[in-house]
Amino acid sequence: MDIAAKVRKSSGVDVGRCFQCRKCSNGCPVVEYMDIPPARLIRMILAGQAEKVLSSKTIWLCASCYACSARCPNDIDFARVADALRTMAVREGRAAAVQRIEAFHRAFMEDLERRGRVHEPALLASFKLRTFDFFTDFELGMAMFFKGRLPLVPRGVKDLKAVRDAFGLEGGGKGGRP
Amino acid sequence: MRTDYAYYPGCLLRGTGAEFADSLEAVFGHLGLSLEELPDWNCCGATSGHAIKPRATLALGMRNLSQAAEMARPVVVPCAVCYHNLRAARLAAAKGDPELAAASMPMAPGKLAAVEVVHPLEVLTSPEALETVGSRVTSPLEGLRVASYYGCLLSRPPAAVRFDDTENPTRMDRLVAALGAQPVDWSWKVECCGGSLGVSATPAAIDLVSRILSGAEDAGANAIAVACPLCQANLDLRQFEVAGKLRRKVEVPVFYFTELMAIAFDLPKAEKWLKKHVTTPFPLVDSLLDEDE
Repeated sequence: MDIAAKVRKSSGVDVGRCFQCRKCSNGCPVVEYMDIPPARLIRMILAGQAEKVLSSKTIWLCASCYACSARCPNDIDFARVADALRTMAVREGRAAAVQRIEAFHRAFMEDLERRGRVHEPALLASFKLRTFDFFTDFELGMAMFFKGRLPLVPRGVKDLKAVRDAFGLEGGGKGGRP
Repeated sequence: MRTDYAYYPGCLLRGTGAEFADSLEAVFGHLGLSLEELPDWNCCGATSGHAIKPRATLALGMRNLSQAAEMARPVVVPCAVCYHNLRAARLAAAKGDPELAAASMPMAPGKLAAVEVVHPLEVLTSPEALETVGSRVTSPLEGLRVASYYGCLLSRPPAAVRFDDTENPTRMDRLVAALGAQPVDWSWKVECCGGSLGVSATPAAIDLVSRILSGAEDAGANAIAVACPLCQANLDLRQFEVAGKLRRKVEVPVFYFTELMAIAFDLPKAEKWLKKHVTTPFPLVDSLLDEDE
């Protein structure tokens, strides 16, 4: 199956409808940080360039703001396409082109799986351990702590089994590295 | 007007955005609207869920929806991220999402799709509700020029959320007008604040935040109103970094719309919530209240 068909199967989005108006690229708030603008990425999907698409920074930098999805004249939900590509990259065990962003998503989902709810201090600690970056936002963290904005005691769901079952659907075991 | 609602607070409203939950609960109580928390809700997955584990995230969303379905009333979801995700789960149940085949569902899809998922701004801005809100105002917010900031997930994508006009929502503007404040017309109300990248791609987020703060200042606003704990944290906490980047003073207090309501209703606890903000709202709030006397 080529990559356009895989995207359609997992997201329901048919990128073949794109006529390159570039509304998505022009309205994207983070396009200047991407290596490939959204409209060009769609073109590359259609050209079957799976390797370049799945190793792009773009699929990780998409902020899921849905500006492109809301404005596409052909109803192509690019944010969902990015979800499908990211998930594909993770399931194939590829190294993410922007590792900090992947590390954050993994830390978040592990925290969710642990308690069924996310506890910000635990999440941030786990993210810092994964990235070996202990100083960024240190000042900010202290400000939040002294303002009483960091909850100290984590709370979780009662029926943790239901949460674990949901994660079981994903395949590939616990949220660890593939 | 309906007065009893199920309630999904979400993780941030029980954490860094506790002022949003506290002010919302106080304001709803003041207006005679009841909120009953879902018995055992789980995290909605935020952005990370659909980013890397879409099936698990859909199944978790369905679990939340099933609890609301059992309570047989609309569920109020104040956090824009959770609101978006619960609406997306509902749409997936209605349309037979491709990822659904693999996700187990706790209840028939028709029942899940029938759950009404509403944002408090939808409850508070019906013509009838706006009239009630206006009638309860004891300290009109005169002198407050508010840039209402909706961000991404309240109004996008329109197929899932159907909150208001996609490019120019006005519910929050109408609400702050009912409180006696002046809503300002500005261009950044639905731009992304980079909340999902705030920790992992901070320079990009600071860029986005600086555009929004500058946009509000340029439009003559002296305050920003928000409806999302991630937007609030990003816009409120990063002002010192934005000031460094722009090399000028930046100080625009960022309020939850429910805090503005509490101030206008003279609810006693408002001061306690406002103290948690990093960009201090006090000189501004004090000047408003002084003018009343």
